[in-house]
Amino acid sequence: MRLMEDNGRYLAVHPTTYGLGFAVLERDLRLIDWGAYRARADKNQTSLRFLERLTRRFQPCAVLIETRERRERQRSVRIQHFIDSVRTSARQQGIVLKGISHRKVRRFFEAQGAMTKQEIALCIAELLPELLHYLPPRRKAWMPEHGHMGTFDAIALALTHFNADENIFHDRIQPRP
Amino acid sequence: MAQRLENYLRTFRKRTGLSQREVALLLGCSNGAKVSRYERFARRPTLATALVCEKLFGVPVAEIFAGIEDEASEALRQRVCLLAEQLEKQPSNAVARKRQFLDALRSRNAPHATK
Repeated sequence: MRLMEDNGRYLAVHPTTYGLGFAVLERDLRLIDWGAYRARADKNQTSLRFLERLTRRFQPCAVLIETRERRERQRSVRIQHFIDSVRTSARQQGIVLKGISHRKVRRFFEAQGAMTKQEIALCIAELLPELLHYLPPRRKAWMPEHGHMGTFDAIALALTHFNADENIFHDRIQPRP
Repeated sequence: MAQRLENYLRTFRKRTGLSQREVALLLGCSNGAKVSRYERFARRPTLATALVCEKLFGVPVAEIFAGIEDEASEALRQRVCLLAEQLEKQPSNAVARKRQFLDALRSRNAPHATK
């Protein structure tokens, strides 16, 4: 599977504790598919298989995934292994993999006035109204993270990448007061 | 030109919040499996189903089934060239009118940018 052709379609993936959140976007900010995949047994293997199905179906020109910068927040060992195996699998299959650091995503959304994950999700839902139904409720300290937050994290990666590439948001996202 | 997906049924369905089973009911299919096959590009819908999709989502067929439209446009473009070549060999007044029509057709079906 060779996905080097630039068709303007990107697959953003955000591994989570239950599986992964994903989003397929085109460069003109058209959201093609999105969702949260809940892996049951052997989370890494099944998530990887799911990812392969997505790349086969949507033929993205690149897969976007979170990378870690030095001194950045730690992800669980399983998720670190998952990111490594995605990298290995992409290299073997000739898929372009672009890593975007968590810090970069935060910096981009801070410039839009969104500091917390909830605010980032809200900012994304304002930009892509079809996601309004998926907006998770405000999380209380004792609540686990909502399944759909992974989807918003994946979209945040893609938006950060597009912005770094072409700075297309200056008239789309209005900075919050 | 960027290559568009065969169809964007899944995108439009998810925007409405309908499940595959519910869309199947609206399309007159027995269950959601057929809709799933359309969404996985494993099966192409009939003309009647495509027209129902247009009514259902309020989006032109050419936009929902963008990849198929691209494929059909490309095939038509090639056939127009073929017919134009054949017409060149038989010059007459009637042929001039046909050529004019083919030129208009060519400009109408010029490859468009990605949506």
